[in-house]
Amino acid sequence: MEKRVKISRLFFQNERGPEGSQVALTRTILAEERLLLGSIGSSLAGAGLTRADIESAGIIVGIDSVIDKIKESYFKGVAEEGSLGASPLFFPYTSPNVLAARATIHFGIKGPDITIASGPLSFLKAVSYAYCLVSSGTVGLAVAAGVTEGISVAMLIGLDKSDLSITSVVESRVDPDLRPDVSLSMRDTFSIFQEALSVAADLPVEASDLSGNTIRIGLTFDNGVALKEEAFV
Amino acid sequence: MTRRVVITGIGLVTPLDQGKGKEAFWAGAIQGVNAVRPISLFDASDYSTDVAAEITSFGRLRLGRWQRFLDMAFDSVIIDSAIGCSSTGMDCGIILGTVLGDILGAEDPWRSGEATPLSATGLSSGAESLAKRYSLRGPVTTISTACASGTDSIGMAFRLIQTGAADLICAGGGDTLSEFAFSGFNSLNAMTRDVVRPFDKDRTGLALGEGAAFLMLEEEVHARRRGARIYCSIAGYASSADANHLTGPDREGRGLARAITAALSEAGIEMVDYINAHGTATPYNDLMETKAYKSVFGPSAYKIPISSIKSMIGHSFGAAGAIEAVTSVMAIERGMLPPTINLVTKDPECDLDYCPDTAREKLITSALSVSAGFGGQNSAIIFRCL
Repeated sequence: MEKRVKISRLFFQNERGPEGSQVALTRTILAEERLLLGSIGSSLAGAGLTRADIESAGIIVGIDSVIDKIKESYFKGVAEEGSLGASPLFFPYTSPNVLAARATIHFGIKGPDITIASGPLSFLKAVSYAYCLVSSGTVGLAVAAGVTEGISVAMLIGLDKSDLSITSVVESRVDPDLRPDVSLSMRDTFSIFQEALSVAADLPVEASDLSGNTIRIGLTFDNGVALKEEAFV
Repeated sequence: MTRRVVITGIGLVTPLDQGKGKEAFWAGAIQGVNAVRPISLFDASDYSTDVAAEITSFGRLRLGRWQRFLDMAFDSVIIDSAIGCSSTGMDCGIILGTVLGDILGAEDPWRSGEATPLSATGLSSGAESLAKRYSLRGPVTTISTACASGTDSIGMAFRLIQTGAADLICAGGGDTLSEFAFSGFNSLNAMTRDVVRPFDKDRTGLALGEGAAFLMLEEEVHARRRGARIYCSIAGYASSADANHLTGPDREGRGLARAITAALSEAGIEMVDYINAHGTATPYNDLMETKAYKSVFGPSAYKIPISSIKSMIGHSFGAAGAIEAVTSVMAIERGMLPPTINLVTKDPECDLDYCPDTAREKLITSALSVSAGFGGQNSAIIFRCL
């Protein structure tokens, strides 16, 4: 019997988001850290899930160049002051998995924790791998998220209690001569994804970056209207 | 029905082999060669230590060093797996684990205030470059899970093949030595001043290293159909989060124990014949790791030989888990365990069998390789002979 891996509680979080105030109480270093915690927190709250419910969940976070600024800032300290300029506070924040790690600590998520750093396509790849983990039975529930400068999106992917489903994921790299002649930012992939959710069933999401990496995700909706009402941009 | 995933190729470049291939690596690992030496890649005189494990055969090359490592290891795995390359491309994917990517390409512009090349900060450029060069048509993904990146890239490839998303994926990791990383670990007082002593009561921390390694993962029927040499299978894999601290591990090793338990459960076994440890030689890691093994295996933990090749080649971040996976695969193939060098006086709390100093002959049917990293990352993967 085909398993229907479902998406629920999709939340976009930007700096103007109403849920930002919930996260403001948490001490954070990066603005995007607050955004990710906000979008995940809203998704979990919307689903009525507690820490105990998500302890064994997986979390897959796609990032682009969002932590480059802190890497540059950290190393400028070293370049200017030598060993004394190396900040033990900022250094851990130069590790690309820091955003996902902060989310695991904040929400008590102890399942598989993967950060995908495939440039603009990272968010879609995060959705793809979360689908893989749930459909294979590795986890019952996964948080799939994407973070770029100024905005984050997070959703829950599981087998039940959801509003819409993913029926298949096909990821492939196409012939460079045939690839779509378009270069996307991760923000673009958020828009494409959201548009796909709001339009129709069985709509493939397809995106490509300059190197020709292309991802396609087929989606089927059970209740797109309900989902749209929960989404915030 | 679950598809079985097998290993049909390995390729690596490490400070032990200096780019001379897997036989040179294995010879160095079995002989217990210490590759940790004074650094030549940058001036380390301002720091509290000046040692690391370098691939000195590349000299002081900085520009393109990371990609050269990746290219060399990838070329090796393509040859070793006897995958036929053609001008029309290959139905093969690549999953690369890295923490800092081409950081050396960013350091110099950051020093001088120049614009940073995109390839230097874009972690995905390494895998994309390989995909272009070999015209790979499968999934091309870069992951970054700190020092567990190499293990998780292999684990992700395992899961994708197992679930039918691909038949053939080359997975591994790579990172270079850099002042960026060196300064950071120096600021955390995490580095040794001389040698790496995993599980020793006088251990003083890790040494940084560098390198790259790849394994060719293949669906078993696909491999047998083309007559591939099969090293072993992957029997189980799991990752977990400590959800505890950004830099320090869970002191009781609970997160790592969860990952190992899940991997064992997937493999359908309760014991392994060998553990290739994370073994960084930091006080917290080695104790946490020992506790995790005792927690999972109980009294049987004392019967499992464990070794850390970081005692020889230091800690190469994204490459580490992949190099250790290659070590585990070769240990199964050759019935031989590399030693943990520099282990003179066992820590009373680290009282398991860490294979000090001398390689050991042993028939190995299953090997466990574990990784842990910043952010509370834990990964465990089990290789099993067929």
